[in-house]
Amino acid sequence: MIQINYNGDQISIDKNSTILSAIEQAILLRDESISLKGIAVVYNNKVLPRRLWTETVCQQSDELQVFQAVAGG
Amino acid sequence: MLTIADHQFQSRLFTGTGKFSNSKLMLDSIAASESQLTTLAMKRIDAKNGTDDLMQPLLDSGVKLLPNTSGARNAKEAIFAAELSRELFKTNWVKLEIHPDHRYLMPDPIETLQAAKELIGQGFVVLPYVHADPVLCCRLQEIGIHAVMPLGSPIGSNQGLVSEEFLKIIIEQAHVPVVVDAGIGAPSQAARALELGADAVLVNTAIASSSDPITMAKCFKYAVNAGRLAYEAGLGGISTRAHNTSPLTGFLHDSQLSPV
Repeated sequence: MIQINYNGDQISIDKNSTILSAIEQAILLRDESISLKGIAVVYNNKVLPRRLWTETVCQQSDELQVFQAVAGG
Repeated sequence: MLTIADHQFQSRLFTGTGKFSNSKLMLDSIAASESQLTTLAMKRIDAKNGTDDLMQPLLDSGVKLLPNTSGARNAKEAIFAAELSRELFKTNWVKLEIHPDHRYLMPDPIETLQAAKELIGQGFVVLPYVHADPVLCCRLQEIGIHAVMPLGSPIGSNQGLVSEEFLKIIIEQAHVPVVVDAGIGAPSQAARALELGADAVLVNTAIASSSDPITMAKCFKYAVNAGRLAYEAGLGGISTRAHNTSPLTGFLHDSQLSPV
């Protein structure tokens, strides 16, 4: 297992997890009901395009932030 | 027909999605307004206070999305927000808004101009929210923004077109569409903006905070249509003294009733 920071919380995920897998594990751990279609990911302070979610492997202490649309004017 | 960056809009009423008491009411109100462009914001997912996915039902309704950079306090944060919104919403359109001051939410002109330059360079369609500053609007036009969004009054204040005299100058000088944003609190104020020659208005709080948002959305639709038609028809001139609309034929005391 490795530790990553997910939306401000420390969580443990499997070693060699891709970004997609890390998000899925985080959703399960945190019991979130999120559609993967409606999110965007910031990985170590950079916007990570969706096509790279399965190509990028998480490292110890990485930081993932997941955003979604909210109401606004 | 209003065109912004090759996209055509039949409706000159743009809407915001904030402050509605629930998502269904927001969707129904936007449908009632017949608005074809609506704004959304972004937020980091909060496990404790989960929110509905708003994007898909809006896309399903056929409305075009205009993500904003709300929350950005400077150009750097706004550019990052725009990059994130492009990834999230799959659109290169962005409502650039940078307001570091929480009390009045006044847009920062220096940071906005700087961010707009960078985002235009990155291929974004940039609609900056700005104060009703004619010089700034010209400067933004020069660097290639696609529409300007000057305020009527502070965001969510419902004060109406406090900036009217400056909006007139902006409209006169504009080569890009002028969308009056922020502060429009009543349909009559939206109509007024269109009468002045604004190309569109963006309305959020006035609809969302009405006790009947769906009806209010319809009212804004009619007001915007009336205002635009009035602009196209041409308003009559204003004068201090009266000009008779009926014949002043004096049938009792002819000499007293003749025009002065």
